[in-house]
Amino acid sequence: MDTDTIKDDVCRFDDALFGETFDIIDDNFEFMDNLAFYESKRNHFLAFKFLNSMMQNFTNIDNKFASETLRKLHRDINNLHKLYKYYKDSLKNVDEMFEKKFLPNIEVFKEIKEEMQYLKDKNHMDADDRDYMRILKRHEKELKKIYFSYFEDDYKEQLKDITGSLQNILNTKIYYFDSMLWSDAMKSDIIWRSMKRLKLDKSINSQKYIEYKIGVVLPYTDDYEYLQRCLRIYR
Amino acid sequence: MIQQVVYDEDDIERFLEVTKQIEAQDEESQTLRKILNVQNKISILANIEPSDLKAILFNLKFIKYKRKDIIIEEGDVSQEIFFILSGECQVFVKKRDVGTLNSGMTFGESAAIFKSKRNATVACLSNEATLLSFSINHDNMEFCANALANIYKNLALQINNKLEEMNSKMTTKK
Repeated sequence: MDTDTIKDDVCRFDDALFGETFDIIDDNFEFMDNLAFYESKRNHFLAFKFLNSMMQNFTNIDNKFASETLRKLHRDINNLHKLYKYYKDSLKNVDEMFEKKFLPNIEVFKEIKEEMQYLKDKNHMDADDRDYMRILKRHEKELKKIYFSYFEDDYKEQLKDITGSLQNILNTKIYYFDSMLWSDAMKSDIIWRSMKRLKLDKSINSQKYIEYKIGVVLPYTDDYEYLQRCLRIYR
Repeated sequence: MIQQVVYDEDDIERFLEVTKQIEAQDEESQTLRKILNVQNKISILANIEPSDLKAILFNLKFIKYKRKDIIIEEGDVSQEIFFILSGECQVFVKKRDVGTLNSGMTFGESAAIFKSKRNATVACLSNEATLLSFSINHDNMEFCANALANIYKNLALQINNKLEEMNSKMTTKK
């Protein structure tokens, strides 16, 4: 088996598996480029959990507070985040992906499997059949090893590329979500009154809310540590 | 695979609006980060918590002046504080030259703190001078009681230093 065939097989698998995701990534970058989105160097991605819970809190107070754009952006971010998480988790399952998704689609392995099945289906395997079965198994094992070495490197590289790109897209969109969330929230009288009760003014934003929240959560809990980390984004 | 969200014209308008806001905020916060680097050189801002500083300072600008440019004029009502990053400035009271200010020095703080009229005119003396100007957000002061106390303390120290300097000059003349 020559290496070009193996590389072609890996490439075809990439196209089938990642093609649609790369289209989504390209569309997102194109959209953000066309609108000249501001690319922040701060880690807004980290604040995703906090902002998600704020969206939920505000919705609980006033379920009509969010503009149509904010709701769409929230849905968009959640979809992209699910995709990001799926690929992030995929990095832990390289072996499984190779065995379950990649190998069954490769011609040479299909042929080996068919021949093995043909031998197994025989009522009686003679000595030649058993020898041939051994050869097939050895051949399959060796081929798997070669294929895996190509597959693993390429697969990890593609996943890194995808998760990195999704993270960049999410970082920018979360930054916009952050800004839009507080702007919509402060237009709601009910939310504004609830903030006022906490002695927060209309200039409230994530940073000020986190500062307030840090003062009221139990120190050194997971929540506290997380909020401290979030606060560093804004300072 | 995920379903992509489609944005319409209204959404796009909203995104453009947010971009403008973010750019304006970021420009200010970059300047603020620069001020934090020189905070302790600006005597009236010494020992103030960075978070308080962010809350009470606004309108931060780096401005370049050329020789003879008037920076503030006696009797004017304006409330910026100036910190000289480079160059020299000359101080006039009733058109009389009363002294020179060098890099690392601050002026304009009295009018800013006491909301009074400018008590001197300051002009650029060197060929070029770079100044950092900023204003104090008095509305936020009530949430930053320690910062307010420190500013007054720093200001008192500064006035005291100026008085001592004047006394020592007068003693030398005698």
